Amino acid sequence: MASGSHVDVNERRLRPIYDCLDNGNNKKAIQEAEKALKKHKDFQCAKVLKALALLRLGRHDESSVILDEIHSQHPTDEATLQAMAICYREVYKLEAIADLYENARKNCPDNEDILSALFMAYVRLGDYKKQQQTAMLLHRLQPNKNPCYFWAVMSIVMQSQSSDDEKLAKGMFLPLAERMVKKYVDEKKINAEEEVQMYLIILNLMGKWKEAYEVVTGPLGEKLTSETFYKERKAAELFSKMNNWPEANAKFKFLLKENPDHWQYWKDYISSCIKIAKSNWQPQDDGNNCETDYTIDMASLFMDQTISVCSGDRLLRGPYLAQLELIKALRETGDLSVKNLGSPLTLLQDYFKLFGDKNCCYEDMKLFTNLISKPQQKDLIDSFTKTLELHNSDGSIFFAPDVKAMQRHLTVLQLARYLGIQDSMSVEEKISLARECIQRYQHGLEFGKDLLITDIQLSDNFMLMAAHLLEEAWEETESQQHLVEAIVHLQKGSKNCPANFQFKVMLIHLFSVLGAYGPCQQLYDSLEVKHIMNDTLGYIISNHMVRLGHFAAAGANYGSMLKFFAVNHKETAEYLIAAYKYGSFNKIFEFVRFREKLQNSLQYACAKVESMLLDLMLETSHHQSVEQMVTHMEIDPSEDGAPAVEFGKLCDNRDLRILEAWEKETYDTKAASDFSFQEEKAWLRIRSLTLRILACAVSLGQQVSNSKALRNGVGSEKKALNEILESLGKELSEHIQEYEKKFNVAYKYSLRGPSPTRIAKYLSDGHHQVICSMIETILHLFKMQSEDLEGSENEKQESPSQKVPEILAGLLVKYKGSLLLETDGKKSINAAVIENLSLLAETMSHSAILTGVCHRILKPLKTSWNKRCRKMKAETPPPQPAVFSNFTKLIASFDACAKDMHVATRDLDPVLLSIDLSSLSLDESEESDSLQDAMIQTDVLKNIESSYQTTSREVCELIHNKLQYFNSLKL
Amino acid sequence: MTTIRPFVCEDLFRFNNVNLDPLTETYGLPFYMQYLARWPEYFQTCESAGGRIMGYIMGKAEGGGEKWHGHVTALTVAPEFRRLGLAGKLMNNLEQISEQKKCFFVDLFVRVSNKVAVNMYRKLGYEVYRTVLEYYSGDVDEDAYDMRKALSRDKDKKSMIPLKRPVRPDELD
Repeated sequence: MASGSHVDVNERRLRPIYDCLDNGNNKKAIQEAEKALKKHKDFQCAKVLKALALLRLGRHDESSVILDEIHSQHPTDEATLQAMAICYREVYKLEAIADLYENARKNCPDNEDILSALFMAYVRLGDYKKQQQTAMLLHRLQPNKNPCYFWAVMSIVMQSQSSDDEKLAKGMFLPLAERMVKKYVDEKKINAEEEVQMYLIILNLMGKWKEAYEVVTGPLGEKLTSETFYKERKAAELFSKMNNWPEANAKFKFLLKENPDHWQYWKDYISSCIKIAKSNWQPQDDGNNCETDYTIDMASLFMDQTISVCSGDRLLRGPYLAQLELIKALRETGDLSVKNLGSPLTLLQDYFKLFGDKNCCYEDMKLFTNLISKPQQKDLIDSFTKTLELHNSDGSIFFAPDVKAMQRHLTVLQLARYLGIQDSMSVEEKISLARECIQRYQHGLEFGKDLLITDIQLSDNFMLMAAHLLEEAWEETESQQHLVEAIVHLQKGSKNCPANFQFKVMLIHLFSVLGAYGPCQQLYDSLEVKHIMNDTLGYIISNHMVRLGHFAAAGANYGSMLKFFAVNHKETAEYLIAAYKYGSFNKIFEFVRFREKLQNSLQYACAKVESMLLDLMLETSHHQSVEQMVTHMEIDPSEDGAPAVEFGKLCDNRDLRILEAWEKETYDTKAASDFSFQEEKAWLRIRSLTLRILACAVSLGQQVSNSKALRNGVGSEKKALNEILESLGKELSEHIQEYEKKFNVAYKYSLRGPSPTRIAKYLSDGHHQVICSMIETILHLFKMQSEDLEGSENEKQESPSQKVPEILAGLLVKYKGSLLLETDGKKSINAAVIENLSLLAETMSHSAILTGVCHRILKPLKTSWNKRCRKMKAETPPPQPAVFSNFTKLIASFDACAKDMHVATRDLDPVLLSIDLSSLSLDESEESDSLQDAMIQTDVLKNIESSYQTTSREVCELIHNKLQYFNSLKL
Repeated sequence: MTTIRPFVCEDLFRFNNVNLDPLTETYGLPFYMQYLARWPEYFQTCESAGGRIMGYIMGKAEGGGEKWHGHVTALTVAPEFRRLGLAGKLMNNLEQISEQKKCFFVDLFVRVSNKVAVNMYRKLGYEVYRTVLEYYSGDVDEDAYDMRKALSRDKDKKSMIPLKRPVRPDELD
């Protein structure tokens, strides 16, 4: 085969290049490619591989020249196409891949590989229509291969799902997909389980339950084998959809007999039974063959039977909880006649008897505690407590003799807390209970001394309980000692059991309350938050880093968060393709939705905007570098410009439930997280507008100073920027007005999160005025033509910007203060001063940038004014226009203000002021191991102290940079 | 009192209470998605009545001929839901699926030091087939046991006959 040997030669020549690329030796790959090109100068694939190597060396420009060249030649050779697709994937140019294969297809319409690669290219793009067309082309080429045909079907189903037009979806796409599958069914061409699944997906979307049931139970259903009891489960679900409750009930009963602990089956079984009972349904014949439980008594009996059948093995919680669930479900339908089922109080008591020594008992029981009245709840706890032996006759603590007894005690404590029984305790009682818990914790360590370091200590929950109680004591008394004590004990718990993340997360919350971010970073790092956890858990620290003036840490953290988001969208596209390849059609919906949720993540949007704002604030001590940075960031200030945030689409992916605080029923976690989402979005809006305003203003300034034609400056582009700035300013003011009503008072979140943003402080102290006044000034200066200078000469009116240093100075007076407060002889840390000064420093840095823009606009005016003065050759030079002298004054005020800020921030450094943080020490700890506690406490205070030092140092450095910045703005 | 159901992408947003456990590795998204796309039936999770994720199992079927087998890639249960027999339930589920697929055996790797897990697998009928040297990399590399349990298709339990000598990771097939 002549062509064959030709291919072999090429392959042989390419081999070394591939090898180098595989080994990451990109430089050598280029050499090898050049060697191959010497022999054969139009060797497309060698060129592309060279481009790939260049790309991986970061030489994007050279690489894209080669790629463009080959792309325009419409290559069809498979190796070339594949290599190009890899290049495009690495730079995430997905459209180019589709275009590449589209061109190739036109040249080789019968090439199956090209077509199938083209299909995959459209999958990456989510272009369902093109997917469908390409899959059909493939199908025509290979009419006997089912997968291609079903790719087309799936592509049609996806069109129905993405279409906004319900009519089109239901009236056209789905029926078309159904017909296509039906055709294969009729022709007996269905081979695989996936194909049957596809059929079920379509029937399900169309609400054709009966047809779906026929598929599941008919011959096609025989293919549904990969999940155990899939057919029975599906049938039960479909009967429920058809409101055929007797049949559904019988199926769920069958499934429960197979798996008596399956909670979802119990729930479905119960709800079907109640529906039948309400309808007075009776079996038609004598009921001998009827598997349906059609009365509540029958359900109750079935539960009893299940309990006795299973009592031989490990006790199952399912049927016991099912009894409670039955009562709950009956109550929800308004039926209070549950007499035959036993009282919920008794059932709960029985449950505790059986399962009180399980860690999950609390979580199970709390679902049903509202079946009993408040006084009964108290009785319940009292009756549980009576079963525990807690104190000796002399009142001293009686320690649990074994793990089970200890766990029962914990369950009672947790339930009592959940039921609000600790609320009636005085602060002293709470503290004394906390101390008791700490002792019990210490004692319980005995039970776990053989555990591995990676295991959770069995008595950890005592320590966590103590910490929650102490934290509440702090909230009630505002005495920080309790907070510090909670931290010390959590620190101890964490040291004994580094595997327990509860300690760490709670410590992060408490340290951040004290304004100390430093220890939080170490704790967060030890949680090993990675990959998707960046999205779900990033919130634990992200509101604290910049707020508490730890800018370097913030930069690093935003970096790793953004890295996750940047790669994930690229990477996950490939698995959409895999789902088509393996026929996992159900997963395609899932993947598409999942990718959307990640792409529209609140955490992602915040990290993007915040990290840019941070860079603009930090890495700039003069205006040129700001200009460079803005260019580099490619921010498009216009509407929908990058980095665009689609506020309507934002998803809250935060996992706010990770801390278990046995939260009282009174705290509405759902309301708190909903409000937090609103607040985060509002703050993000302000931040994203701030970013765009800064970028827009900087570009405007750059444009003005680069343009010689300032005098007639009506270039359309130029006009656009100042108009954009004006409208952005307006937009900001409008949103501020709206938010002032809603967010200017801080929401009372639980300390266990979510944490507040800085919006309340920002609004109530009017930080936005700084930006708004600066925008006005910039626009005023921009409109000023050099001819107007004389006109403005006599205008002694102050420009709006003059207010800005005053605002800043006013805020400084309000904010500055000592880190240690002393009231009534009690010393406490004044964490607010840290947060306040950090915020002020940021606002000041925004005003520096905007002042830099003013300078950019004024500079050419000044130059031309100077020129004109010289031309006039007047003996006495005309007096300088007020606008120039005003600006000089402005800079002087900024300079003064920044200097004051610098002093105030330096004063935050505890070491510099020789503040003794250990003067906060707890003098009351009289416990046996107080020496260890004292050591941990010294450590804790040292960590807090060094965190304050970091804040002071970083904010000082920032202000120092801003001083330089202002000083470089002399006209 | 557990709902066993297929693991879905959405679960990745809320499996932290399980994955913050130090022995449970959190992988990059491609890893999970590869399993979800290719072996969706082998990726199952347990959910509590309160809607929390209690644990999950990830597996696959691979190998050819008599080595066609089910493999447990990851099995984990959150601390508060341990000692309830969940792991056994999830393993049992995976074995049933492997039976359906006519596999010869099920295998898994476990840290030699993880005695609790090794004992649990023994109770479930698994035996150490071989030791894999320095399989887990870390500050100090750790050996793994390759544990196996024959399924009904392997009537003579040939797949479980232990190897005499330990193997290195690059010798694994």
